[in-house]
Amino acid sequence: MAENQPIHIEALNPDCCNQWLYQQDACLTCAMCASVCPVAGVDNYDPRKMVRMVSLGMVDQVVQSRWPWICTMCGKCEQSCPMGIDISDLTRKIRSLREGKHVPGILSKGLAAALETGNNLSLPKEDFIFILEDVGDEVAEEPGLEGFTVPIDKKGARILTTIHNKLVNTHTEDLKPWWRIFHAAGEDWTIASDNWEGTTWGYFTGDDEAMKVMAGRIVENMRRLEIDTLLWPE
Amino acid sequence: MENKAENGVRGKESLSAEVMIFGDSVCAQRIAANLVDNGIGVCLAAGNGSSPASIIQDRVQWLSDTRLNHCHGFAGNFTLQIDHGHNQLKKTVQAIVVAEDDSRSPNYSQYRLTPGLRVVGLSDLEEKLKHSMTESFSGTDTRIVLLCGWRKDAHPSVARRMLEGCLQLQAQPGVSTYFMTGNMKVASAGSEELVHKAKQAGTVFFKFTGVFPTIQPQENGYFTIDYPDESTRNTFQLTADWVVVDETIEPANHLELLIQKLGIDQDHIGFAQSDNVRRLSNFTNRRGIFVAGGSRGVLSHAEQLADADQVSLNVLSFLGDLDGEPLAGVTIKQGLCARCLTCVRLCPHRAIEVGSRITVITEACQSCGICTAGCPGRAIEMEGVHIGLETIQRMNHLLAITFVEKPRIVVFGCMRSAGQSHTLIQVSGQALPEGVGFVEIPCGGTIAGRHLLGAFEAGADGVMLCICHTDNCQSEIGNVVARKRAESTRDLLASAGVETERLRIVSLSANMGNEFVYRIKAFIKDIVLLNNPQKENKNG
Repeated sequence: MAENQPIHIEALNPDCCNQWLYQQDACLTCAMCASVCPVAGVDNYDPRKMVRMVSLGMVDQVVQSRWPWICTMCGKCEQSCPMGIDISDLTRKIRSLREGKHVPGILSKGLAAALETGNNLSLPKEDFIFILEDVGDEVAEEPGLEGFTVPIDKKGARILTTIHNKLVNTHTEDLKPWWRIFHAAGEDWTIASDNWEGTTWGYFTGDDEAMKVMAGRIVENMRRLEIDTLLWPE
Repeated sequence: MENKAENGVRGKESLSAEVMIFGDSVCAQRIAANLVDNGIGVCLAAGNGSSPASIIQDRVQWLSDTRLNHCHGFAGNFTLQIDHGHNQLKKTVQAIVVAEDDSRSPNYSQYRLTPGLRVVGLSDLEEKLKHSMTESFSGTDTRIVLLCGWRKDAHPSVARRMLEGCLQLQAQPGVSTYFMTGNMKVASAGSEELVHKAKQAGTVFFKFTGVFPTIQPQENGYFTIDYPDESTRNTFQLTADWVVVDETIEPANHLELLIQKLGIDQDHIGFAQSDNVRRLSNFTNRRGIFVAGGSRGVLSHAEQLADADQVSLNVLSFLGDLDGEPLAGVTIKQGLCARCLTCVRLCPHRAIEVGSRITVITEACQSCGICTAGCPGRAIEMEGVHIGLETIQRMNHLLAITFVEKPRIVVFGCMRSAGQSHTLIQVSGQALPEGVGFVEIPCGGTIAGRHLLGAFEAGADGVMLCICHTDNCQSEIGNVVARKRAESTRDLLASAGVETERLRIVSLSANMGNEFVYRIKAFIKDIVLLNNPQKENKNG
């Protein structure tokens, strides 16, 4: 923010956000939020500053700043606020006001890929199936797990489970404990070959529409495979 | 009772009243109405030339343009000399109520402003709003800035009025309000709700704690306000059409004179009631003199009205008890009195009369005994109070027989705090530790150094003096003089080679039964160590 020129308060529109349901106008400027925020001070950010600027009608400045993206969404500010201001939700709202192409890199790319291809990595279906089967073969070599196979697109299974994209990318070992447990429990489970992504980065960018699309796809998989129970580890 | 009042009148105008009310405030008039409704004759002395409201017109004696010259007498029989215009009146009344308005002045200088066309004080604003003179404030794009408690916190009642004014202004067409405050006590009744309402109505709030805005008047009469905002760390600028400043509420100028003439205690600001919980809500150090509304502190309008009703009850109850039994008598033995006036100076209740002889006014005396302990000639006696050497010796006699191996402890305690705590212990089935003799005294101020030394002389190993907490003494200074006297007694002990730790001063309140026992036990433990210094080493 430029600190030299005074900001003409009469040019601002403090009423612009009074329909928002985050109670930001209740702020007493006590600074409890600023004192607990783990990233307060980074780029001169603190939650009180953001809340006050929104309340004064300086939303554009906040949206253009890096502050909402510095926030880790830990929620301590909200817990400590004596006036019950929903600071985390307010931060998400601010993030959502950033134009898509200006959303910080990985979030913007990952979310666009997920909406287009069904997962954040743009991993093709055949590669996904190959990875699952490859890891499945390794599991089948373990004592007591002879004959294990990964049930993909099994109609009428009891449980549908989603997959975090890192488990079919850099952390394939982390798939195995789940599968061992399913096997030991004799669980009737399956994984969908399309739209298997369990994460939805719309949560981080404040993009509720994207979240709706991602969740809708999982629901659609459940309908298609006639499954009642969802295991959604994310 | 009216006849009784007639007797005292010596002036040109013969007036009959049982109660004199000083002040023409809303509070004073309400007290007058309450008392008259109860058949009590009331005279109301206003300082200026104002006239009564219709509710009390023709029912009270209304004296305007008055000044109190002298107050003589006591509860039930006060004689007042009053300047009334060019005349002098003498009036005898049974009770006095001080109910002058407070004084309110806009805080221009706190905001480095001078009074001007576009600078409005809070009371002025309220007048304008009351009479719907708001057209000057409305119009397109009118910006009004309210300044509240920057360098000195605004009193919560003032802050609330500022917020109420702000809400009304914000409701005017075309008006935007900006509330610039220092620390504000939003925890006071109703404040937080008002802040919330104002914010909802569209008022913009800024809070400052260290660096305050600068307000520059422009040639066209408007103001440019520059300010660094502490929470956003931005510099803002605002052009204001109007500036509203808060106000300071203080005792009225002429209250000082009334306080002086009536001989009542003041608080640290100068209101006519000391900072003492025993005075709440409407009492003073003098029996029969009451204080209410803006004379006793900063009260909101609603609080002043409630105060008027409360003080009316207090006065009625006082008048009803006038014929009751007086308290235990304090008498001055004329043969021993040297007319040194120490008692006059000490008495917090103004109960010593200086005439051809020095006498105690029974009706005003509260039997605290501060004078008996302070009298250098030991000329003052209190009926039924025995705290001298003989009393302790009799007690010690008992102690000596029963508890040979225990330290002997004498505890003096004020009947309003330690005495109550002692009763609490007894009714809850407990007892004081063995070897402890408790002497209940009317007030900490009853105790003189000779009583404390007398207890040692009678064989006590330790003496504990229990007084009331600070600003809790029924007689205002009893706990203060007790502490002073005990401390100088300690010096005497030291010069006689006695450990000063053997005399302990503690303060208690009436509901501290367990703490009372705890404090005594801790004292005994320390005295045992003093008696047997080797014991500690052996055990250690």
